[in-house]
Amino acid sequence: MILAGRVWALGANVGATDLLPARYDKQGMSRQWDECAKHILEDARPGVAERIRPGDIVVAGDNFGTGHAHYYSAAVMGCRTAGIAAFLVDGIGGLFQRACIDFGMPAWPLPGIAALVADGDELRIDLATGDARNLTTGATARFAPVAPLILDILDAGGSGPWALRRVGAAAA
Amino acid sequence: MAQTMTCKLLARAAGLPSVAPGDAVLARISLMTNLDGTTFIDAFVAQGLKVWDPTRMIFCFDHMFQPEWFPQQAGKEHPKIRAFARDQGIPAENVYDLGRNGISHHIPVEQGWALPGTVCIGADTQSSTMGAANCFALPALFGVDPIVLTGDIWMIVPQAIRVDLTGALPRGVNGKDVVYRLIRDLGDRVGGKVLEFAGPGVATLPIDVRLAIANGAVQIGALTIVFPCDDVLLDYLDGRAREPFAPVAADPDAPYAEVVQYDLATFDYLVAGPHEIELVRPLAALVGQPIDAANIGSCSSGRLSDLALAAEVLRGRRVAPGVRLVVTPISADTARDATAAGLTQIFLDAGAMVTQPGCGGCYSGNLSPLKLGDGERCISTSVETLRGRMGSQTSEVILGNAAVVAASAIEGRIADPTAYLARELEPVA
Repeated sequence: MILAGRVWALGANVGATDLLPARYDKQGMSRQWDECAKHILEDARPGVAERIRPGDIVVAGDNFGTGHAHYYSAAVMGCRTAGIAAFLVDGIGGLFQRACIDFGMPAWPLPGIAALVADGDELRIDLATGDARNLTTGATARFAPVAPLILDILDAGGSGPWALRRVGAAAA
Repeated sequence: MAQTMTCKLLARAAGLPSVAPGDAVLARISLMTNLDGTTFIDAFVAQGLKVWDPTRMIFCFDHMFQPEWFPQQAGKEHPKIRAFARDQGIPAENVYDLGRNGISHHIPVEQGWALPGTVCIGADTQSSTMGAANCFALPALFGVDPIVLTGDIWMIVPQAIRVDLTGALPRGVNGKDVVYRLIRDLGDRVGGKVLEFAGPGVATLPIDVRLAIANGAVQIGALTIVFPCDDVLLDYLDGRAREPFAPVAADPDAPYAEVVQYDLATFDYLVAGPHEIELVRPLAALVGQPIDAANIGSCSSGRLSDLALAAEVLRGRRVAPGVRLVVTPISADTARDATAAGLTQIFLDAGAMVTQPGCGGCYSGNLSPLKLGDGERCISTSVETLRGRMGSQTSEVILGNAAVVAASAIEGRIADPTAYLARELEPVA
């Protein structure tokens, strides 16, 4: 799986309610993902939501995805619906990573990624090999590859369609 | 190779001789426990799908969501669950309906579903609670559909941190205080690892307290929490366990990312919030702040030992005028036990309201009479302190243990329960 896109660089300790403020809980709980998408990063990076282009990549430091899991789905689906293609971070909470991958959003810890790119850089990465290149500066890095099992889930578009594929059931 | 409890649990469930942190595996699950806020039923019905094993699915009515805009509003959700269970061949007793109900990750331990050596998944965010029973317990969150369809779960084997305990908790201090101490001490470096408890101090912790500690994984920042299996757990499971089980123990030389040590005797009352759970302070820092409401209940409290602790403080005393105290037992069994032990009478005599079992006022969308108005402050034993969580966006939620909440309700301001607990009481008749 190869990703290429413009980077939104965030710092360390970015929580779910930084990605989408908790005041949009109602929109999240009623699964209005389009509404969630309009407000992502509203407090942390005001004005970002309307500038996101499909395929943009969020790069962040360590301890990404903190906070109560109640707010994870709205944060993930808000970002995904806004066009964010992946969360590539120095370190990620296991539970937040679960929510991402279940929803088909690539989210992977790549220690050192935050140092490879700056805000606005163009990044290209092959998740199957771990080869990454900052297309803006030319800097390269090799990270541990993403496990094939996880790539299968992402390839299917999330764990729901992946499970349907495994049991051979046709989606309606 | 020496292995942690985490690795052993996941290796067994994946049918592998061993696994290492970072491995991606498919782990077979023993239980899927659902709250009354399901997200998979419509899709299963629409697509004609069947759950992998109807005998290993349970539903627990706990939140009783009220807002009409909620897709899972209880008036629609409960009938939907009952019908789904019938259609899928899920035994009627697996639906913990009104009268048998309770919180979805407490019921599995109390009713002998979550057993040592297994992988148990819950739909609720706080499902790590079941880890008190020596199982690998995880919230599935919004990835429930695939798990219910296939009976297995993808896992990236996590690293573990070992928490060695010595000593015993001081009187009045309980699992809530342990969780807040761990948030304060470890919150910035747990980063999705598993906390495994060990050491002689574990034997001093009743199952109620272990459940409250295991409940805090998400707030601490851990993926989940696993307790070892010991005589205290085996005694608890005697007569509850629904099938034979084989516990796991960590190898003595198992590799841990870190080992931390605590003397339980050094733990004290802590409070968390408002608005951020990471804002953990000694109780003394907030003593004297006026309160409008007090709440005892939720999955991080609301167990019999929490209710008994609160009753000890409240017995023969009254809630301060202008303060409302609401008590919500965690389960129907707990409500019955609390009534049999005379605790319910003590709460009613004190001027508290005792509600139906479940999640209670922890979240404003639940069925509970406790809603916070503009500018109000509530001290609560519940699990979350986020702005607006219990009502108005301008209200405040401070979290503490059941003794602290009870003492605060009596004084009408945040109070230290030490003086209230320093009396000899005759047993309740």
